[in-house]
Amino acid sequence: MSPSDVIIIGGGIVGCACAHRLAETGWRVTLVERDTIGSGATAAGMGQIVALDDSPAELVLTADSQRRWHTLGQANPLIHEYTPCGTVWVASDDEELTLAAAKVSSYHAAGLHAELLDAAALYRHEPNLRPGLPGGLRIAGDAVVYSSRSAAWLWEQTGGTLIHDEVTAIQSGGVTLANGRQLRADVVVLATGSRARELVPTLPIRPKKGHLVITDRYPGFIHHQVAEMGYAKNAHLADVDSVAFNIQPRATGQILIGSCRQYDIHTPEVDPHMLGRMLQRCIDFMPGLATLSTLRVWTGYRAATPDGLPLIGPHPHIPGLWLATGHEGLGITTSLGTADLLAALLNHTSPAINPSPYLPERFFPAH
Amino acid sequence: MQSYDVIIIGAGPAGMHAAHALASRGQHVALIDDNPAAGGQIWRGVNNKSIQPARAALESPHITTYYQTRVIATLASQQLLVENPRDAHLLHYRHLIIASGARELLLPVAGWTLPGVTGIGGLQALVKAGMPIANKRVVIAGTGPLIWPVAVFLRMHGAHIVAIAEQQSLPRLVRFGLHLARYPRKIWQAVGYAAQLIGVPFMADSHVIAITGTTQSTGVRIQRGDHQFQLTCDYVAIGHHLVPNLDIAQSLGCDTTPAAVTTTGLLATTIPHVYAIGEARGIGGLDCAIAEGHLVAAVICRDTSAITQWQQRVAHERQLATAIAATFATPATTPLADDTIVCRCEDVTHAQLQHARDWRTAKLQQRCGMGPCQGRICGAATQHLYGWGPDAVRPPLRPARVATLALLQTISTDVE
Repeated sequence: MSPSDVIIIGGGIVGCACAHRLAETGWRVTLVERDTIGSGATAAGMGQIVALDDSPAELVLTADSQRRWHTLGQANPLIHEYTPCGTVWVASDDEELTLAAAKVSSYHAAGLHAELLDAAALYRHEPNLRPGLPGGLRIAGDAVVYSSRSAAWLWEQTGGTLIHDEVTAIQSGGVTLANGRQLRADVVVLATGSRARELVPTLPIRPKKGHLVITDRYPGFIHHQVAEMGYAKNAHLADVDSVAFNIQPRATGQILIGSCRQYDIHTPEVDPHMLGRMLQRCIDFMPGLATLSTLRVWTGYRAATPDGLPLIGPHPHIPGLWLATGHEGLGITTSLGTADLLAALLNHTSPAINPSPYLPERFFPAH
Repeated sequence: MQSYDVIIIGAGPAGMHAAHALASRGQHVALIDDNPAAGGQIWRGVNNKSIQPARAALESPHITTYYQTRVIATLASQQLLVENPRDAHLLHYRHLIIASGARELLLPVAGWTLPGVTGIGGLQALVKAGMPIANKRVVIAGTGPLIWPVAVFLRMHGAHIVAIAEQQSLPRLVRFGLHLARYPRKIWQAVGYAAQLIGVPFMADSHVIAITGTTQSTGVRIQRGDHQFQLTCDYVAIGHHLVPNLDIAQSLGCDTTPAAVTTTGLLATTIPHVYAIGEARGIGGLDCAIAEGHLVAAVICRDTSAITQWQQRVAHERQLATAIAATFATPATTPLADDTIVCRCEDVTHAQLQHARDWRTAKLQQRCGMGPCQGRICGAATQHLYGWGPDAVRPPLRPARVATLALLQTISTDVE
């Protein structure tokens, strides 16, 4: 297919990254955003760039994306507030420390830096952790960005057309807007995160609600993103409400505190009980958090798929519709890898990584 | 968990009188205030014989006071999460009275972030806290009835009031003065102010367009009609009348307008068991607040004769509130310079904001309103300057310790 017109629905980080990459390869891009660029889960999330190895395909996509963010972030550190702080994964017991040792080899196999920490090294990196922890894992290449601004920057580079409206229907060769107007294009990319089912109800996506808390400024209180190793276990596999210790130093000196996951809740209000559970979990790991001053609490929705991997590629049954959604809690990280993959598939060039684990067709029986 | 018949949020004149009137009818009352003592903004640091009875009345076994205490969250099942400098509590109420008072509306103007520039009530609070003002030259500007008592207060403390620059036109102010004729106490108050301000230049229809100075305010530039002039001074006290504190009511889900919590004539909000009194119902002043404190106690205790008596008094005082709103509630804004800071917490300038699409974009892209004040100052300013809507109110209503919010894990999830 020769590059022509593409409509992207959703101006979050994934939609903006796709717009950026497609515009670079010659596409004329129209972006439809119902709110403001970089809102939705992009604004609600932690802005974390993390390589995760819950599955081989997750590690491949996050590792590829982590490298792309490094390049982008180093080129414009002020715009993205790119902070290459790395992640320290905290082992709660010897069993988790053994798991950490195994993870070191899988990260190394993916070409990433990973370092097993014994207790002394753990406390050298993060002295505010509670006493008695056996060690952990440090991924030095992980980073933090200010994702709403990154999304806006990615979009500004495209020179495309931005329409502030809501898409009410996708049809062959275009979309219908809430104001009744129809837009035409050869390709439509759906990048509306957890709201994707509003336009394509058969997509295997469920919203997973989360809460985050931000504190006043405490520079130097932590140096890395710090998370419990149970995070991945709690966060991605369990089908029940869960909380996990996961905190992050922001470029401003503020500390972002997470995380919790609740399935199929559609109300944005703060859930006081979940919030309390989440913060108690974090105090349990880092007692000094208790006296820090919080400024704000908010909620957001991750777009979760059954296998924890995003949907990137053509919809197998709807001609002209391409998907870039289902990124769960990793959308900021994997936005850049997603965009490259999607553009390569649309341009029939060879992608940097194998696209098959992420193709939407895995959830749709063949005709 | 502590449980009370009535919790009153705000220990200003309205809350103090409500507490006393409820306690004297046998109700167990908790009185919560952010400040170290009762009195509110108007009686802060004041200790004379007009206030002592109201303070003494709080010394009742039926009243528990929670000073230096902030409401952090309003919860289902009639609970509040509150925090003081030492610890945090969950409190339960049968009835809740919002007597949360008002704050000054501070609007940006070129130079307003210079040291030496304060709100009008802000300068008074600083002087009450011990800041020396004797022989300092002060310009009082902006709009609102607060200007007069503060000017008198500052003059009594030795300040040299260079001028009072009021935005409103003289005919408008005269109309307001005529309303006062129905309130003998107010008339005598006004006569007293005028007597104590003899010799102070008063300028109506005068707008501050810039505060000058490099490291400290040294003067103000004022526009009056078609001409501009400069006044030299050490301090600039500038405020734009008062806005009620509505966030607790909004957090509870009560209907509000920008100017007031929506209430019935018997002070009930749109949420059962929740009442609003005093400035929260719209800026009405001291006598109105006191009358509503009495009325709410009568309503909660179903004291019908007292209800009739205080309802008439409240209706009378509220007519003045209407006149105050008609005169002062729509302050003008002057055009800002590009480099005028609008969000003081995050140093966001007018240039960065004036082309933003909306409040959300300004927050996400410029971090406007994301600092420690959480938009309490710039939110009102941006609403005024750019017409941006306010945010949904979420906990924490004030900055709170992580441990305080963690206490929420103890609330039961099936209480509703």
